[in-house]
Amino acid sequence: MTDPILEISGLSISFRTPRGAVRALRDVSLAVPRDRVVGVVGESGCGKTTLISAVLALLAENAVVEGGTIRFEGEDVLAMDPGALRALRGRRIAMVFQDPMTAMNPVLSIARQITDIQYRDDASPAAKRERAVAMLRRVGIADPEQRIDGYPHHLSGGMRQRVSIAMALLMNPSLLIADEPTTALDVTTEAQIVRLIESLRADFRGSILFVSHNLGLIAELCDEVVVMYAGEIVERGDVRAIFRDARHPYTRLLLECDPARLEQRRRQLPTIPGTVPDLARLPQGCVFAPRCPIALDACRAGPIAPVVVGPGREARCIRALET
Amino acid sequence: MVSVAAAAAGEESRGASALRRLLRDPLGAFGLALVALIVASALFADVLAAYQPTQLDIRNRLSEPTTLHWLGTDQLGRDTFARVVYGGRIALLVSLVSVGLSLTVGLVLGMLAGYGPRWLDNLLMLAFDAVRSFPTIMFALAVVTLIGPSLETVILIVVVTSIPVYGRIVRTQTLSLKTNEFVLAERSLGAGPIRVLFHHVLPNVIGPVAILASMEVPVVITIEAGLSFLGLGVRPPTPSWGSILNDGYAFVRDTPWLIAAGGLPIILTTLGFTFLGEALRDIFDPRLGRER
Repeated sequence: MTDPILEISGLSISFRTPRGAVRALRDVSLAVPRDRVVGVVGESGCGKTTLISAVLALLAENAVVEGGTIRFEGEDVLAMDPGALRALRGRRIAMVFQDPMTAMNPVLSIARQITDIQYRDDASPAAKRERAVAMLRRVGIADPEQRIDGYPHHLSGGMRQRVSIAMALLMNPSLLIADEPTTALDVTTEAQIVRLIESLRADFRGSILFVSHNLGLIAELCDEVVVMYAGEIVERGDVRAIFRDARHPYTRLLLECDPARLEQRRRQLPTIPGTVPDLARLPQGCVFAPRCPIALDACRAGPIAPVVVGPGREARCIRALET
Repeated sequence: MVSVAAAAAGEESRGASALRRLLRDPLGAFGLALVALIVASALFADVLAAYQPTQLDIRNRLSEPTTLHWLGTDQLGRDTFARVVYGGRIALLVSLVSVGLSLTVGLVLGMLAGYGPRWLDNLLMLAFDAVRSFPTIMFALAVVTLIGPSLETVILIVVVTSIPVYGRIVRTQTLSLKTNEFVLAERSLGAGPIRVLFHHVLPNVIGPVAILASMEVPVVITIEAGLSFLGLGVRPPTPSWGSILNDGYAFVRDTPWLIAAGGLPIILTTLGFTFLGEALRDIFDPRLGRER
């Protein structure tokens, strides 16, 4: 296997706030290999969005990178100057956002926006438009010649998400980041978008970093999965191995709480008791220890290092190797 | 599919439908008519007026309105009608030039303040506040005393005092737009700050600011007339509504039509632009007056 397209190692990011430093990401390491789909899963506020903002170097002003590197195709993203970053974004890494309702400029026509993002090309406006129409047809927009002259509010949510995907893929990036691309859509539309992403994998040559809190989607779309909790990666590895035999108690509880995996009817959905810790006042040891059903005293003593639990698999738990 | 095509067609004729709605609004139609009248009289001043506005005729001074001098003559025998229509040129020139300039500069500074680094925002807001903390007329008096009265001085005063008005509005709009996801989406696709500002922020802020500008035109006209009335505006003998008013003021007992000739155009223009601006705001601002 060649070098991974995206390699993050030991990344720690905190936000300066009036309450003190909020340590949003701590010692995050992951790799996205070529032509693979890597899923990132975790609760709201676990650092998923911070992670992908860091990859595009689009962090908020009060964010501080405390350590670690992000290497994209061998280049250090965090050391790039603004010009190199702009060349990176869009052309080599593209992103699809969560809410298609707000991800497009409401006062510009779709044609204007979708030809606008090809500004680095010398092609004639007609050629750009033609390429845009072809891409819209590819993502399943009926009548793209007419639709392209409409405005975002003329389209439904699912249609808009298709247009966003078309815009992201237009420059043929080697990495596509999808930030919960179906969360804002209803279930049927979600299924259509998932089908679309699956079908695009066939002719889109590149890797996908797929962020979601929907375990079912991750299982369906991804090759590998990264489970995040309170700013740390608690478990990562092959998606089927993790879904079959999760080694971290958080992953296990998460899987138990997935409504799609419940084995019998229950009056109440199971939940994980407790809440995510305050990222400004982290517990001393394992971040999950306060909610963990199998925590030992040793878990609260000091930081936990990731444990290799199989080929390409890691879990950040001292009891990961117990059966 | 049909509805999409129809919507697209509706989008294309947005200008035409706005005009239709404007004409249906009685005040808007009245405002548009007044503005058209004033603009036409200023444009065709040399055709409409039989005399030059600065042509003296001392023997005929303070003449009553006659068929030759429709609005009479002033104390130097100049034809008042000619001075009124040529004064319209000055009023419109001052207002359009200064509104255009302050709109442009205000837009750019406002976008920079809203999108740029924090220190630039603080600096620009400090400058805006400093300018706005002077009463306009006191500021104008100080500037005229320093650099002398002229057409350019009037424009300078108006531009400097109204840049903060546009700048503040544009800054606020930019601040709220920049947190919008579509700006983040554009940046994630490689757009730099210039591209984000001019391709994405500008089309979103131009509407409200243009309406504000149309409401600013009458304000500028009254400032120009006010300064000229005080003798601090355009230099005589260049005609201005303010100086016509001032000339007539001295002879108000004998020739009241001079006051009317200077005052009525100011009132009509102010009314016209205000009605037009308000009607446009109602049409283009979706938060105000729904279908009326």
